[in-house]
Amino acid sequence: METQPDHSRGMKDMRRTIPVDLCSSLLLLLSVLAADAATLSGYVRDADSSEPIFQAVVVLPGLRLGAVSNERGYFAVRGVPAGRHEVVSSLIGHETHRDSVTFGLDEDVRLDVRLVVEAIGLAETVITAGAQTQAERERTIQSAYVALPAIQLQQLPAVGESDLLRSLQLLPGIQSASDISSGLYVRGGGPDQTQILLDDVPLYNPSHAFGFFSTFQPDAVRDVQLYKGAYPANYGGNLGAILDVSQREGARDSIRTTGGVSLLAARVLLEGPSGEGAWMISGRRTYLDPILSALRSSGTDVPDYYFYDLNAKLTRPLSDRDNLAISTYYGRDDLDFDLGEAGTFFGVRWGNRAGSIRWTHLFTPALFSELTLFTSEYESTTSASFFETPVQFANRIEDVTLRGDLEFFANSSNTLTGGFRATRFNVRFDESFNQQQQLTLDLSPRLFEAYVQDDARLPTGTHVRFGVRVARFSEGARTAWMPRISISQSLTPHLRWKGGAGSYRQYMQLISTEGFSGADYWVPIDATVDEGRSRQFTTGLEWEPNRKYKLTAETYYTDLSGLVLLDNNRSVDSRASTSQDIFIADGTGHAVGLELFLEKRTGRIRGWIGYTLGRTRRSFNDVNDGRSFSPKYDRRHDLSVVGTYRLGHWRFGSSAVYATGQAYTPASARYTLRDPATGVPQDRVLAAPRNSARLLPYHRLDVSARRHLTLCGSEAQVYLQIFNVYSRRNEWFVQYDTDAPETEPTVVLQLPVIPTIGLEFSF
Amino acid sequence: MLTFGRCLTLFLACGLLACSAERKPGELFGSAESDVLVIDAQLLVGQPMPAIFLRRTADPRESYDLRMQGVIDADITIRSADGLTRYFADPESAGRYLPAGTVPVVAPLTEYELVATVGQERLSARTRTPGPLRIREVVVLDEKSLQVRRNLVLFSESADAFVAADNQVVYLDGLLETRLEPATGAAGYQLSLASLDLASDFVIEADFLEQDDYDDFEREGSSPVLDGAEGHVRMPWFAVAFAGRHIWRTYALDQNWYDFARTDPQTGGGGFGQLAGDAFQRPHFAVQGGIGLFGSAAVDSVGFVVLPAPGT
Repeated sequence: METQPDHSRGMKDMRRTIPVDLCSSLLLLLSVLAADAATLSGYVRDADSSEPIFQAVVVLPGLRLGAVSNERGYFAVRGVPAGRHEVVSSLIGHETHRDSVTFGLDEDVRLDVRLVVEAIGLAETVITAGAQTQAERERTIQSAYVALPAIQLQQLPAVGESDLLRSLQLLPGIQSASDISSGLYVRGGGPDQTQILLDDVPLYNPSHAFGFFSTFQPDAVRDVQLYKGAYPANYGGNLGAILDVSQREGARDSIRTTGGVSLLAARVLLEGPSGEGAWMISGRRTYLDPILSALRSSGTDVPDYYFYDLNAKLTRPLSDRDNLAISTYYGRDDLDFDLGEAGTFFGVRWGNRAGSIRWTHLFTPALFSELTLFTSEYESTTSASFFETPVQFANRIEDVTLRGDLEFFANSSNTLTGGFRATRFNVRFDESFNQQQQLTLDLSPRLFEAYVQDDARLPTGTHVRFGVRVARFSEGARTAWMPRISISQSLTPHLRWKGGAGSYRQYMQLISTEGFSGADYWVPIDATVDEGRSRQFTTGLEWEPNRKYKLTAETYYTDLSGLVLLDNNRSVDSRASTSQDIFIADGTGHAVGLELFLEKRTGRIRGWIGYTLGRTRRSFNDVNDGRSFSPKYDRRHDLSVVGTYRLGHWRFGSSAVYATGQAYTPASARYTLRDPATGVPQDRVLAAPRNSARLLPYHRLDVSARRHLTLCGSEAQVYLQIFNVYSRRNEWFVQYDTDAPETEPTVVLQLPVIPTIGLEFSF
Repeated sequence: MLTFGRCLTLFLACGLLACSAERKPGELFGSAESDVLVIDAQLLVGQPMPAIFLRRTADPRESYDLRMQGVIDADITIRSADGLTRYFADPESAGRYLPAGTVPVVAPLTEYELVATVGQERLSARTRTPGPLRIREVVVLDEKSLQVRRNLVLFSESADAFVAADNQVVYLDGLLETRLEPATGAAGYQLSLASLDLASDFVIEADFLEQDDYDDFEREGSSPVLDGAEGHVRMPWFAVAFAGRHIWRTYALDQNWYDFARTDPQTGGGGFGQLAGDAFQRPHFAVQGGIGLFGSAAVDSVGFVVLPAPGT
């Protein structure tokens, strides 16, 4: 296939339009550097959805030149000599696209590529060229990194609704706290150590229904990038991992509607063209409330509960070199349990609001820039009253951030990036009991960060990404330099070694309820307590014998310090106002592990087998007599097998997991002490060292079946999903009862088998 | 080489076989810490040296009988700068010890050391008593404006405060607040509420309560620990379930009692509840050679009568 490139946009035109008042001296220097070579540039998009494709490889095989598309699908290849050259664009899961392009002397060529999702069984035979497979292995040098298209996650079995975070829990190195938790415990870190971004905007609480669902509407998500550790310098803010979720931009050719109905919620997504751009709006809402209302009217005490999400995005090109994207998210959970008498009720409300405006500008074809203004707000209020005794916890955090990024495709061997991020937080946390104000936090810290990074591809087959990030946090006037590096070395044509290391800081702390996530609270660390610090090291081998299979073996070690725990032992009327009043501080810890990940990426059967051997420890002077202990989510073994199978109009899916039981604190003795304030004897159990025992191993099998059909002339799918097919009642936690002479431990169990059905449609 | 499908089948078969694993209740306990000495002794400022208890822990796998846990052959003394108090075993109650001879009164701001010796075992603990505590006033606040409606009569003002009109409190009407003169050396405060009329009716009434819930209500209860930083402590109405006379005690705690109460999972909790999850922890015992509590407090109290809300 031959594509007629657009020869009209020359370098001189581009240079004329550089707005000098916005350019730093660095930018000017880069522009000048960019001016003396012919450049091939453009966007890679999905042929069907028109969505940008991240990490597509664009190479000129005969010249050994190439580039990888960035998050916006943009790529640039500099130094292309005059003549006619073949340009090959590829990405696993898509058909390889070939163009023959004529380059003039010092001419800049714009080539927008649209990749078609590959047909079943095709991929095994298409890719044979050595240069191309070599290039594909270059698509990611980052160790501990997983990129998944949303469609792959949607096809996995789930409870009620397909769910992004629950699907990610099936990857090696990622655990869940329970069947009802969508929280991510990545490589021995708690959920607060993973930053979750939606279109670059941090979401403080990505859960609905106390963690049963995540806030991500499956239809609205384009792709997901997960850095499980040693993440690069262009990200910041958390000790462990980064989950970067991109929303769809919307269809550019026609108005389309996608939706779904399940037993729990309904959702719909509308998308369409807007000039040369696109728009997308989607919404989801539970319809449990009428059911619950009916139950209440029949005399059953059940709460009123609902949640909803709204996502919207508008993308418009302003010129050949400028794009504007506006995106927003709004989600809310609302639970009310008013018993209607005796002044007794319980209510929890929480939700996120996020919005961003992003201006993308090409100073030259090789110099890509973004300026983003975004805000994220999280609000959580728990109100209760027991016999006219009111209790309230209220947390509100909002941030406003200005972020700028530059990406310079210097040549086929170097991509330089740099940027800044300036954030102002406003955080308030109030706790009151019986109309008396207790804990109060009111802080407005500021965080300024900047980074530089170079992706260098060396002739030896080595790919190095080195960067440094500097952060300045106003609380305590702290400055931190955080160097980060990733190295990828080709050992044989099919075997690659990867390694990475980095230093990280975290200034915001999550206060969460153990076992489920709902009305979580976020507070900043102030000057009285050290911020969280981590150093991460990861190394591994990636063996890719062909496009069908890929085997990754990776080890990791994370060293943690400055950890905090909520001090549950402070007095209930404490007028705490600083971090040291609220937290047990100065904790240390480490996580070490080995992950094995075998993927089958093409064909009728696709899926993966993931295994993690891990160990995580924490240590606090004031906890467990200063001895180190396993956090609840420490798992020695974690195995998952995930597969999908396509047969005609049917698509079957299954996932099976096996994991070491979670750690818990057992009772080691029984004794009697009087309640000192009443003198009444109380039978008690004595806690053994913290988390010194294990629940039974966790295992579960989920299956799903989907049938494609035509409904009123439109494409549709009906599905049946069965969660926990053999109804394994996995253990959740243990509690002890000392009412009888026999001390009775009770194991609280997790979810039994849950079948759900649903319908998805698009037209 | 195993195909992907075969791997999947093998894994599923293993998984299904693993389903047969069942939990035996005894497996849910940790390594037994039985026969550890447990001291239970609290000194109250201005009151005579109290009876104390010395028992042992039991293996939680075995049926628990409190009488079998009492230590009957211990040599126990409590020493202060003012002298030594010896204790003897109460023959009527295994593990209970009573002060011998003339029983001294517990002095404020004084350090006491308890030593219990059982054969080769030695248990010891120290407490420093807080200064005296005095309730300055107890008021009924309007629940909306938080203005004082009236003052309750204190025991220091009338020996028979229970009959005072101001001390007749209607259930859920207003907020009861105690205003203290903070005690010197107190680490914190704790409250207790006791219903004195053991046959009185419930004032609590709600359709959502089952009979089992009513059976679970106790006539005495205590609060979590409080800082009491401003000397104002409010009584939550959920602590009241019965009509009739009540006594509301406020304790100014020494460090041992304060640390024990704030770390005691029996009165704390959160997350999964009291005896589960991260809230299930070993309380802070300031005891060498054993566990338990040797603490001290100063106490003052107020009495009032709870009347049912009109229309109930």
